[in-house]
Amino acid sequence: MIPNAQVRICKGKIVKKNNINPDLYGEVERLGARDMEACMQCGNCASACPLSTGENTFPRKIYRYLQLGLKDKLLESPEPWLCYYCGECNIDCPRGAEPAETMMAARRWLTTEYDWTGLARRFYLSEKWEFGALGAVSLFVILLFTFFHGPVITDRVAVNSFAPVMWVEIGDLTMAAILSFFLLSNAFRMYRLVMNGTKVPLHLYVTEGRTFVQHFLTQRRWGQCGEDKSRWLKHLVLVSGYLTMMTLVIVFIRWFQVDDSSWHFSAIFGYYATAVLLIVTVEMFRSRIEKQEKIHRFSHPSDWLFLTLLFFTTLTGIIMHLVRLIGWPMGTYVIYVIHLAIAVPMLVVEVPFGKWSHLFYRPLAVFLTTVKEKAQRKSEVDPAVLLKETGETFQSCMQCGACAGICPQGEVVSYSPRKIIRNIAMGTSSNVSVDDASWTCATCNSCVEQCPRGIGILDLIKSVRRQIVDAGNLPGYFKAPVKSLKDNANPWGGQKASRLDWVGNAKLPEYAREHEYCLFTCCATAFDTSAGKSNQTAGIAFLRLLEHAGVSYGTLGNRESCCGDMADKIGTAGLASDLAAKNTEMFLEAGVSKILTTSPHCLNSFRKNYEGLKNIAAVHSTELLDQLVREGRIKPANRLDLKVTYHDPCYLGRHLSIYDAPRRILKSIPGVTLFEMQNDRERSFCCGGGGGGPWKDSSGGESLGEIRIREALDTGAGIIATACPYCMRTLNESIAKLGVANRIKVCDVAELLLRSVDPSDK
Amino acid sequence: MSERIGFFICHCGINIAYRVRVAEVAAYAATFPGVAVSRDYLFMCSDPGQDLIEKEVKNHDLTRVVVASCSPRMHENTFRAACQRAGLNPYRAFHMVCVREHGSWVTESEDEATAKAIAIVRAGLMRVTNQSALTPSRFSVNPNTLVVGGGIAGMEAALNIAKSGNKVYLVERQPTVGGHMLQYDKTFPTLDCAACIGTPKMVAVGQDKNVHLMTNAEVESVSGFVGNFKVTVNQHARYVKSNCTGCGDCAKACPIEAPNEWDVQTKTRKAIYISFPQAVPVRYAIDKKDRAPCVQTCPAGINIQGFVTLIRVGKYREALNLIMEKMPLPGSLGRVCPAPCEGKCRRQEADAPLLISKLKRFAADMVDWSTLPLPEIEKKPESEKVAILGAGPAGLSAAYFLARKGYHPTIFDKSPQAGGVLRYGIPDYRLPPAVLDQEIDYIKRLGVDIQLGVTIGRERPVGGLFDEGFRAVFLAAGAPKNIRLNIENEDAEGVIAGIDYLNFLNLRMDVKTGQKVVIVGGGDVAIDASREALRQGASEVKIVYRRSRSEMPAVKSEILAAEEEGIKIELLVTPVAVLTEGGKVAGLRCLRNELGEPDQSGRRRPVPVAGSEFTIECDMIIPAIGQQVSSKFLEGTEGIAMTRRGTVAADPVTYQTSAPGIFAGGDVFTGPSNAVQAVAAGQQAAVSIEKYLQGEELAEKRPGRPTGTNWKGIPKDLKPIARAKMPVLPVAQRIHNYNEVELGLSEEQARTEASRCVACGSCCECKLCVGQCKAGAIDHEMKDVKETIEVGSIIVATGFDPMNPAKMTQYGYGKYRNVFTNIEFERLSNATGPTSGKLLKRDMKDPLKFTEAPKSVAILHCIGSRDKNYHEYCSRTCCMYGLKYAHLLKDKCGHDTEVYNFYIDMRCFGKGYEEFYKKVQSEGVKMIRGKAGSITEDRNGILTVKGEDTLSNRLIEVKVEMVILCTAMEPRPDAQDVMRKFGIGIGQDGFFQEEHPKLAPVSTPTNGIFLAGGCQGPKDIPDTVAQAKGAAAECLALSSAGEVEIPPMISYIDPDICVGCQLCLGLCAYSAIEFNANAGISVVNSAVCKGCGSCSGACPSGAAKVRHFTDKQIFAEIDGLLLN
Repeated sequence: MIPNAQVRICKGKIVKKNNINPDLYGEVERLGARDMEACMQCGNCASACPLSTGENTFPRKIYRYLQLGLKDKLLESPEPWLCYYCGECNIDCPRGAEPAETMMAARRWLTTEYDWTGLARRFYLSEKWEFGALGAVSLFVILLFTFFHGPVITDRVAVNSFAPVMWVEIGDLTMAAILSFFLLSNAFRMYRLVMNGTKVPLHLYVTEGRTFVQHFLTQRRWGQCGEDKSRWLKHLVLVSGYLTMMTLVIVFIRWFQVDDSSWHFSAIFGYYATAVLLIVTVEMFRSRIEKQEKIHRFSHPSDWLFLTLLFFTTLTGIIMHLVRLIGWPMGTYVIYVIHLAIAVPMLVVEVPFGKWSHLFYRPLAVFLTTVKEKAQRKSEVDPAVLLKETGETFQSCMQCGACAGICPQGEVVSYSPRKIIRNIAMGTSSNVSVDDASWTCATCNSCVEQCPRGIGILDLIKSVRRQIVDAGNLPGYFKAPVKSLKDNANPWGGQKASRLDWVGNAKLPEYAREHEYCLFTCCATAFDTSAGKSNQTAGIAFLRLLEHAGVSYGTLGNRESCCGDMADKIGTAGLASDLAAKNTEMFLEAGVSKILTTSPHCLNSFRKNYEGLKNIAAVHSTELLDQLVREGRIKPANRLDLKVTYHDPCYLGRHLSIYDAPRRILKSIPGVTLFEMQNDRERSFCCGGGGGGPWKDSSGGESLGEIRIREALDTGAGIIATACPYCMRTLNESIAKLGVANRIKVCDVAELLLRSVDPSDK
Repeated sequence: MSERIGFFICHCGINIAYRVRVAEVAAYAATFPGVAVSRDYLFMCSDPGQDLIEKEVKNHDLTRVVVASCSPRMHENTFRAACQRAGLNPYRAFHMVCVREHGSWVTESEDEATAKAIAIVRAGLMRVTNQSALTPSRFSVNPNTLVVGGGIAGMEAALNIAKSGNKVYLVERQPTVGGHMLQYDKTFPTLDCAACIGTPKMVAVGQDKNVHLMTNAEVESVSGFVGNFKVTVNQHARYVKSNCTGCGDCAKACPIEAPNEWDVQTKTRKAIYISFPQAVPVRYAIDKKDRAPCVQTCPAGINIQGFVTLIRVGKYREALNLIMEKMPLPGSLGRVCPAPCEGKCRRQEADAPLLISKLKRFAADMVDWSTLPLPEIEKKPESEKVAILGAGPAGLSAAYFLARKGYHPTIFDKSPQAGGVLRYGIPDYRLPPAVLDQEIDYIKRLGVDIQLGVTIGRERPVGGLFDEGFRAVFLAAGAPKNIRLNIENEDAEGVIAGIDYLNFLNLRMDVKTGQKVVIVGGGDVAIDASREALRQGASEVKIVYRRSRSEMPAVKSEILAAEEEGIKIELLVTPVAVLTEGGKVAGLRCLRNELGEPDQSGRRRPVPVAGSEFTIECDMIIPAIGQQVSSKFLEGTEGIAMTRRGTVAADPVTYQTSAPGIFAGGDVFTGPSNAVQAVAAGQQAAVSIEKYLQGEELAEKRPGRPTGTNWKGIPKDLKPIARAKMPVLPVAQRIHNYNEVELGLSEEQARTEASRCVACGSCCECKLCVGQCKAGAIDHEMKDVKETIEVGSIIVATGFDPMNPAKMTQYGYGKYRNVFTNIEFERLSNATGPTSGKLLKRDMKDPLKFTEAPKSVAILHCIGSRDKNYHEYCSRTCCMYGLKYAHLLKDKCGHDTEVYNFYIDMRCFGKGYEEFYKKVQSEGVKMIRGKAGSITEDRNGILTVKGEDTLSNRLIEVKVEMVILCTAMEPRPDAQDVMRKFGIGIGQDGFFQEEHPKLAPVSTPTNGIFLAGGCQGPKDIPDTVAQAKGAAAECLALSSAGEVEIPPMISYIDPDICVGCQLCLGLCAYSAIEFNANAGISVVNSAVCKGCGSCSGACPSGAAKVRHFTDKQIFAEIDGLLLN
């Protein structure tokens, strides 16, 4: 049994985890859905549909949601309301299914879901409830008149004495207000569901308001549905009659409900509306019985009920009118009460909770869809540029979705590299589907490792971002770090001159040619002072160990610029290459033979992005420490008695395949028990710190770091060791957010090693 | 000895035991009467399991064994063998009960399963004691094999068998082997060219001495049984003998073009053709359908399609020769023939029939008759003389054909000039005498002696001609006597019979023509007389006819011409009296008619209207209501029977009269008819006379008239061309003279008109090819030959057909020029195709023209496959060839060509397929996951394909210049026939059904008949080849075994009971029952019978029984089931 959907809210969007709802189809099936098992998702129906357009394709999509039980997707779909049931979809259906009927059922289901009172569901699914409710309201009306009617005048027809028009008007308006409240509140829920966090400029709601009114009054869209325009015209006439009658009853009741046969021009409208209601309902009965039109081949009980109520309301209205004209007082009063005893329950049950609610939902769906469409802009991404920059591998994407399946971001937000690739390949990119989406990526490289076609998804994301940046659309949150990189050669806003301030009183000699290593400080170590300067602590621990082991090293200090990893990953390519050029020149000038760094990001840049450093080795701190321990130059002697788990930084692990060195170091420490998290080594779960992570909007919702900390806690470890300044920062932030500082701490591998070597540093 | 039954039940691992409480069943069986031992075992089919049975048989001296386990399909033979090893007759002793498929697998609970197992075990135990001993029969196996279908499957299977040294008959319906594979260009995923890997196979089957290749041949019937099949193969006439060198000179000469089937109508071929350059055998074939309806209709049997075609290509003399093979008077008949052929012309299905008679005249007019060479004639001795009475069309024709055969005919005619009715009955403005003269001169040049002014009759009787040395006589004296009106004053001055009037004028005699002339009648004579009267100076000419216009027998164009000239026609009028004034005609009293019920002739009978009498004022009346035979020439001759109508009685086929050696034809035999009928009669009489002179049976071996309606299809998009309009002299220039009214078609007109011919018969038998063939390989008279071959096994490899997607109207195939099917695209891509391998768009106007490479193409998968409305199955190959097309487009049309593949799922399951998919994707092909729903075409021919990309939830519309529909593979339309012929089965999908989808994928229910390739289901080339090799292995297994064992559970008919009603004969699906007429009973051929039991179920007398399924056995089983 697949567990039910867990729906979480994150950043204002509904985020779904494991969102299969096996009961969904059964629910919709009870409302009339058919042939879910038959559908093979070929999409023929959608292309046959005269109304299916752009991203609002149907009915296939609805079948998909039903087949998989994607309740949340169905809830946010406006498509059922965009279908008017011409039935074209089933003509060429290769599996002989009845998609239009399923769309109909989906509308019924949505009606029950929009309704917060739960009454709609009960009415649709239980005849007892439906008839019970109708009967109750009916009884209420009858009792109301039984006990509160006005004087019964029998020598002439005096409806206004029997039911004073003022009171009737008050009743009318009260009912209208209550019904409107329910309908509008349900419609608001629909709005929330359909928009699902989509950001739309406010002015669009205003300017597109006419769409709503237009579709409300004319149902214009239906006119484009199928060859046969007569269905639409029939409906339009019915609507005109209905609206006229509603207006007469609610606004013009004083002129509508009269005792004598005095003439008022509103009578013309009354006759018109009555005639229309009668003729069209009878006509609709006929076609439902004859089943000639596709739409009428299957009828749900609610369809019959709706027509029956409307018919009898009209009929009693006519009888009442006739009896009044004949001048039969008692008859008039009785029929009057009967008329209301049908009309009121019809309105109360059907308008907010039943089939009638479509009068609001349909135009609202058209309105919201239009607004959403208008809010979309063209993407900045040019597939040709992409092809040039990343090669043709992305074209061979077979849309398997493994990337989305492995992507850690999928745990917290709706994000799929597959979709980005799809939209680019098909030339259907928009600012939302590609441009905005691309910033979610934390460049952890999981997708690249997973891709069965070996597509360089990360390169693709970088190219996308680069094109967005080139078009001048760098996200606001990156403006400050980029400026800092330009001005100070670090993204943290620190002064270049104070790059070595973090060292404090520890020893960090200036690099000289005789030194074996040139230690390159990561900007994060130098300037990121978050979480109690944990990065500096880690850095100093490393320096101590170097000193302890007598390693020959020095630094170029203030001459260093940022390695450019972040600039590269966020698409500021020019900046990244400038930084790389500066550093390359610096290293070459100084005659460096081996670069030593504590940050996997810097290491990755030197090894992979620095064309000019081909002949200069770059070594990570853990690699060196591992070597020193193995050579015996560092002897972890002190027992620490710690439960430790190791978090593989994405850039050290997946990007550079360094998994064992840090683990060997930890294992060499006496008393350290190493626990592995559920996701370790190649499957390490990204902390979210890469690709500009620290600067991105992180308002609301769970973060990747939090999930990682939870994983660490699950191991029972008290220490989460790592070997990357970005991981240090993000994990520390997450611990703070989770409020588990008392249970777990983040430590650099070097810190732990140092403790074992030098007890004074505890 | 009482029966001792052993019962054994199998657990089948847990397959049975998980539901059936096996031990309980065994315990139950143990209590059953007669059961000596009851055992259960984990795997009864295992060696220890079988040992157990054998041991228990011996230990307990068992006489019967019942095993309850899986289906007998699986292990019945296993246990039978065990029983046999234990010394029992397995058919008598052993019975198998199925408690797995019928028990554990299909029941819900343990209790139910156990109860059911007990019931069916009981039934088995009851049955087994009623079984009798049976012995299977053995037959030897003919080592030869028949392979039906010369596609890659058939070729591969044939070559495999040939390698073993056995003989293979490879029968292919088409003129070449190769099949669909050779139509393709490249093959996925390796992209090697289909021809490069396919033609070696073709060459091999053509050359292997063990392969007897029969192309253009079809299997007609199959009889016999495994190891001993007798197959009748119909070798269709190819019309080209095996000494054809394939030089192609014939095709260059052939004037007929037809769509090339091999190129799926994307280009044309000639009627004599070779499918493609590498065809095997490299031997041309003639595409000859049934003779065209015009040819079938022409009384003289003229090869109309042939001469029309020759006119189209400007070969007028050849055209004339072709006409003159059947008819000596083309110029004359070209002018006066009523042309029944035109009424049958199929061109009128598109617009209007061809103007055939005038084309004939055109051919005659284009030739200088004086220099027209005579055919080479082998002259017979002078004594072979034939007398012919009458120099009219019948007489001339008979003389002509006899002369061509070398005989010496003499025509006697009393008139001063030859020609008969053609000369004396038809006015000169219709048929100028010079035309007739040149044709008669030609006949004379052939050696015909025409003696004019000679009267045969009382003075010189017909019978006497024999004494003069003539060995046969042909009576062709015509019907020169007019029929009288039988009204008052008919003999008044000024009344002259129509036939006489024309006769006198043609004899240049002085006939006084009145001013106001009334002609009575509606036939050609009436019309001719009216127009003559006009030319003779009448100021007012009127025709009265008793029926309506549509009933007038005259040639329609003549009626119109007469009216043009100012002649009035009064319809529905009957003359009742001639009014006279002083003995001379003064008027004609008439009655008006209305049309009543149809009479015997099918025409509505005129009924006089009372009181409608009126008078037409006139001074001359020409009755022309018909003619009759004058029997004067028979005076003095005895023994020639006449009919009641006054015509000479003769055989309608041989034209032999009641007197031997005397023949009659033309009007004298038929009564008044037309000239072409007379020519036909002369032609047939000549045949009879020759036979008579040779002493042969007259009615036998006469050249038959062609029949049949299997004609070439008329293209749907045939462009209408107006029927030629005969130029005529303007009325003013013709009514006062005898200049020929119809001027004849111009050369351009004639050739255009000839080009309208739709070539119903495909080959038109113009025989231009015969003259071109240096090897002398062409034989137009070739006939189908039936050959019976004996084989031991048969492989059916009849292939598949690509579905025609025209019925899927949403894709506009057939309507939009640039929507192609996969096969069309293959041909485009193929070097021997219409574009020599270039991928080009079709011209918007001309479907056979290809213009430029498309810049964008959509490839639509699953067209007709995976579709409930067409075929529910997946065609398995489309995904891959769709990718192949994408690659070829990128390769041949340039990398910037946009290619979209609309697919439902990509099924790239074979070796190297997935890699190919990736490669093609990397080339930038757009893969849209969703079935395309529709195609629309705009004015410029740009196609919009609409579909949903379900992966991005987006409706996609792409504009492309070309669409390729990857159509379903479907069973051949005649699969049902093939099924019946070979006694194999057809599955739900319409393909031939294999015996078991996994364990017997190439076998059929008929032993010795195997399947290979696309006829069994959609598959690609590797699978097809593998299956072909599998089928070949099955055949070789049969032949190396040398003999087959036929199971003994078959029907027999008790001869003592059978009443010979023969009901069973029709029911037997295997034709295993024969009727022994001597004994009056039906007999089962035990080698063919499959023991299906149809006969036994239906036999009213109960004579037909199935051994091992006797009533006793079945009732015992039922008793067992119903016990308790």
